[in-house]
Amino acid sequence: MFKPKYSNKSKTILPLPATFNRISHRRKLAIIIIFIIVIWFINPLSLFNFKSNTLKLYPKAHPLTSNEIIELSSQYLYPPIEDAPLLKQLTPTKLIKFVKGKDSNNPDQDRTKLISLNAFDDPDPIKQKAKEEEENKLSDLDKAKNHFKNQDKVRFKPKSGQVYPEVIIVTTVDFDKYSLDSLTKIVQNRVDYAYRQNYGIYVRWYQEFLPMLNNIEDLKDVEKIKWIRLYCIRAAMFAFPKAKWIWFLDQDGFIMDLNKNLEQYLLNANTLDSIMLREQPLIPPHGLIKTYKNVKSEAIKLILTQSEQKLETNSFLIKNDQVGKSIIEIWSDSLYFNYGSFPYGPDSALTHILQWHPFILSKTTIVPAKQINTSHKSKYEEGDFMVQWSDCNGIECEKIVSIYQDNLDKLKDK
Amino acid sequence: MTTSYSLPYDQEDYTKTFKPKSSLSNQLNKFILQNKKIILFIITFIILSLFTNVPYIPHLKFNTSPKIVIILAANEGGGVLKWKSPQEWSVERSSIANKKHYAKLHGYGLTIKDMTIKKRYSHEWRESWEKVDILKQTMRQFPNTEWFWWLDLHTYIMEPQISLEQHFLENLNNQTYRTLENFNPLNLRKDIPYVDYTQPIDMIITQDCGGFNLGSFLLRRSQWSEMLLDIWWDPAMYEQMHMQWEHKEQDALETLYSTQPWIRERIGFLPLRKINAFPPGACSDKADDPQYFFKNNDFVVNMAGCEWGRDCWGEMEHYKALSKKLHKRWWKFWS
Repeated sequence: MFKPKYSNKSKTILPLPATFNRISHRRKLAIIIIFIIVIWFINPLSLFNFKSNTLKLYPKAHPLTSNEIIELSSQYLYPPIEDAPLLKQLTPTKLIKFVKGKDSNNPDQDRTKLISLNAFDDPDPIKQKAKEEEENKLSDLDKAKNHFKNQDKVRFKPKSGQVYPEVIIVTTVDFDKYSLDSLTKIVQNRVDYAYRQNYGIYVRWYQEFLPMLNNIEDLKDVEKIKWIRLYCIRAAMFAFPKAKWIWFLDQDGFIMDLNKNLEQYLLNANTLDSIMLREQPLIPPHGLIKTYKNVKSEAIKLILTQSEQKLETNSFLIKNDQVGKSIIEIWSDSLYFNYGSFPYGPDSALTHILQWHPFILSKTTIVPAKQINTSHKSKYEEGDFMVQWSDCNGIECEKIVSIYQDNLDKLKDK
Repeated sequence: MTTSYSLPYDQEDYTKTFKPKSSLSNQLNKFILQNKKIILFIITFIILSLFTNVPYIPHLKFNTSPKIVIILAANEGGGVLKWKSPQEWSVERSSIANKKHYAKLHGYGLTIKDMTIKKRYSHEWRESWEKVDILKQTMRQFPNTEWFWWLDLHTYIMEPQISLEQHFLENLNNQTYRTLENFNPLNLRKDIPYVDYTQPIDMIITQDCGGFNLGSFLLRRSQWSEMLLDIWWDPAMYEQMHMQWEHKEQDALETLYSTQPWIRERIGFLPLRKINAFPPGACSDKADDPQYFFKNNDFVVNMAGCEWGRDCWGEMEHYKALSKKLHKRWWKFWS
């Protein structure tokens, strides 16, 4: 019989087509092609190729004057205010080290450098701690001194489950300007507000930033000490790296309405959008450079106020993100600090920056002073969010503090 | 016998035979004619979607923008102070052809920027800040490109087969160094507060014997770079520093790097020879230090400073010939 050979094995009735072998050949070819394509494009072999992709180890970010970090879980970071009389007794000359050296630009001239006492810490933090504890037992003055120098190392670290504060109120206080009583009131006011709104506070002594000014006489210069605001804000950004906003409010001011939530009152996009001033001249009233017209409130990183003459920096808000940090760092550059043609220190520097750098201007807005910078002179009315008296002089300041403290107490009773 | 009046074919046969052939194209024609309005609408929609930017329509865009754009600074100071010599023309032609070839090979963009002296930069304070303006302009020109590679005219890509990705971009953290612990020709401060090196690298530069070298560097599009380009030139800083800042934007960057943490944390350094090797004439006071100087199979050579007393054309021709020689295949014995 003419039975085809393959029929023995196959159960099909019909004989396989004559081209069957060719088809199966093609199929093999297709498999080969697919295999090649897979190898070519996906390269499963790369799974076995262990590339060393370990991150190189770089030094960690550290505070201004030390490599040590003290982590605290309290969101109210302020130095022991009760040390004020002791610090006053010590005077800044004992709180800061003066090192004689040569000027790097001008080797013939002697130059004193002001250095934080942290620079003389023992490299081993445990030994240093033991040493300080010993000193603290022996003398209250040394204790105050150690508190003073260690405040720079403090950083907030939330306990598990603790809500991270979204806004940090930053204040610099001066033990030479106010009495202990007033200083306590000023810090207590901020703590009270932060407690109600679950914000954080960050308070530092003015004198802690003397190494940045590098001249003890600058502490008496009204314009020079303004720069300390910027150094302190930068330190606060380091101490609260995950907070969203930093509100700088200098020591000459009170928050009067403790129930106003800053986010609802100012920071949320809709509110900010309705109150921010567009096309507002940077130098009032007729400055040529103005804030942008078409800027979205979400893009804002810096919220400022103006007096009749200029931009003011005694109360302003800055976003605690990459851009906010960069703005503070640019602004506090020593080349601006030393520049002779900035009559109002950082206020002039800011005006200059905004006039010359459109990127930063596009992230900046001006709001009416009434919002976050209400002056005590005939501007403040009951019900306002805050009040400030940075134009006060000498003993007058103390009086104003007690007047508004009474005001606050009355409001509390209501 | 019954007479039948039947047609020569029965009904079915008839219809089958004489019905016009319904080929595919006929069917299509018919369909189009029946649905004229809908078809017209669809075609309009497709054209609008593909070729225009009309709002409220989804636009199908093929992402044709290159991932890397090379910016070549040509014609530096050319044609204003003096006539351009034939040799200068030749150098420029070689350099441009070299980058064109490289960009085409790897699908990168190339933009050649004219650096002729312009009035607006002619003021003493504004000289050579053109670089910043050109970078800004190029970033606007290529809105979807991530990396921008600046190259001076007197550079030559010696190993065009190497792509930037495989050379260092894919493995950036291991290829770069970010602190000045090991190599610090300027003696800048090694440690400044608040610097967070976990930030991504947005700018890749090299250091030669005299400090930062901006003859060949890369910049990544980001908010950081936008801010850097905005702040790089500042009149108040420049007014105080213009006596010290001989190399203008290079020195300004060094100053920013040494004082501002946000600048420092996003700059990565590559060894000079990785993208910017020097010929023997440059860095002549460090002539015995091999880390600066071109060795065979280095990626890019930068004839930095050849216009100051050295022979640019000679050097360019030398490296052009060397590159050709290094890439000669054994079977091309005739060339």
